[in-house]
Amino acid sequence: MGRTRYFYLQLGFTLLVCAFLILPVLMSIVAGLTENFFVGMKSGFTLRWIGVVWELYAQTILRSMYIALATLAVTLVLGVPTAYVLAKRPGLLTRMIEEFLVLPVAIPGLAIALALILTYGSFRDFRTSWVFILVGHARRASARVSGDASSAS
Amino acid sequence: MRARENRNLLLMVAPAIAVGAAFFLLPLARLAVVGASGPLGPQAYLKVVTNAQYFDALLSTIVLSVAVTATTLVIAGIAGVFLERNRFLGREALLSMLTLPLAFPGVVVGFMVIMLAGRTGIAGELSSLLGAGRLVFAYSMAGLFMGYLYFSIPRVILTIMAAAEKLDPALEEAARSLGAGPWRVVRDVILPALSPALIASGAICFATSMGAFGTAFTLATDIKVLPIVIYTEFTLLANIALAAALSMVLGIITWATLASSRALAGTTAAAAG
Repeated sequence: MGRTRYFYLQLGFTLLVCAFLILPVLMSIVAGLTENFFVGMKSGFTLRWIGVVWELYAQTILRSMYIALATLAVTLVLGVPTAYVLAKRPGLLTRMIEEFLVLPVAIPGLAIALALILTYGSFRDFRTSWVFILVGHARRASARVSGDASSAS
Repeated sequence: MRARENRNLLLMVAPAIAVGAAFFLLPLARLAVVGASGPLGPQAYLKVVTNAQYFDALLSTIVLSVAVTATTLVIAGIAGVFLERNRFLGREALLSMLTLPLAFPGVVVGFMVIMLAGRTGIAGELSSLLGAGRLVFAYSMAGLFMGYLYFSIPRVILTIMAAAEKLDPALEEAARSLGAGPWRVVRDVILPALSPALIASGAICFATSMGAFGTAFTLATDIKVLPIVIYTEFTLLANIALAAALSMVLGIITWATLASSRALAGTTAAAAG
């Protein structure tokens, strides 16, 4: 099949879009491995910065991972049974339950975070614990899972 | 038998409903109440329109989000239909590169814009090579625009591709054999068939841009978009009632956008950020 002029025009356009998305990723990888970012690549390459990052931020990185895993667990426990019920009994009641449960997806995380702080922020121990962040994430994530799973089934 | 099954099903949804009530409905109600509890009372909600500073922020957030949505739909529409229609060497690799940014949090997207248009960015290198001086716009409205495009394009491309897969090539053949040129086919056959997907993904794109915090927080130290104004009012100025009222307005805008797109296009939509 012969390629038309339009094929190459569209291919060129798509490649440009791809460059816009990928070039900064490549640049940040190079920057992370460069000896001195401000001097540029001629200063040589090193893995030193990865070690430095790990030394400084290992705790933070691990905490982020715990929160992500815990969010996943809570989301699955709450979301999958719900999605099963919603798929099994399609009706007005389950439709309303679904509407209610996926509502958080339509509200920006910033507004939900503010609402959570205003409601539970006065319980100091809770406010300063990682569980507080977990609740925020899980609320939005499980709304997503119930929505996705019930529309997939 | 049926009653027992019903009871079991109810037990299965109960935890999600309880958590939803405690950690979403209740906080949202509290947010609405707090929004009306400041020195201004319920009039705080009107401040968004009457106060020039907040109204400007609201307006520029809406203009930015509309511009991002329109540009994303054009770019992702062209690339998405192209990728769905054609099979060529490297297509899979191209597709996985185009969807890689889906996994990036907002702050990382902000950093990517710094790579593109920051003080040592690609745009600056190119413009100084061309002798036009060092172009730096990461920390301006243009930088925000690029950042929002960056996280919107991958999502919309996927939706467009899924919709383009269902297009009937016979309709285009028919249009062509009746003498329609390529632009005519795009305008009268492809665009109408894609319109539900364009409406749905456009609404997601708009709602996400309205509420995007991470990217704005990385780039917009003094650009007044609504999420940054809310953050400043709450954290720095302790203007809690006003921050709550502004959050409610923001939430109502994103919710209404998604709900009306669903009524128009009949698909479920989700905002992120």
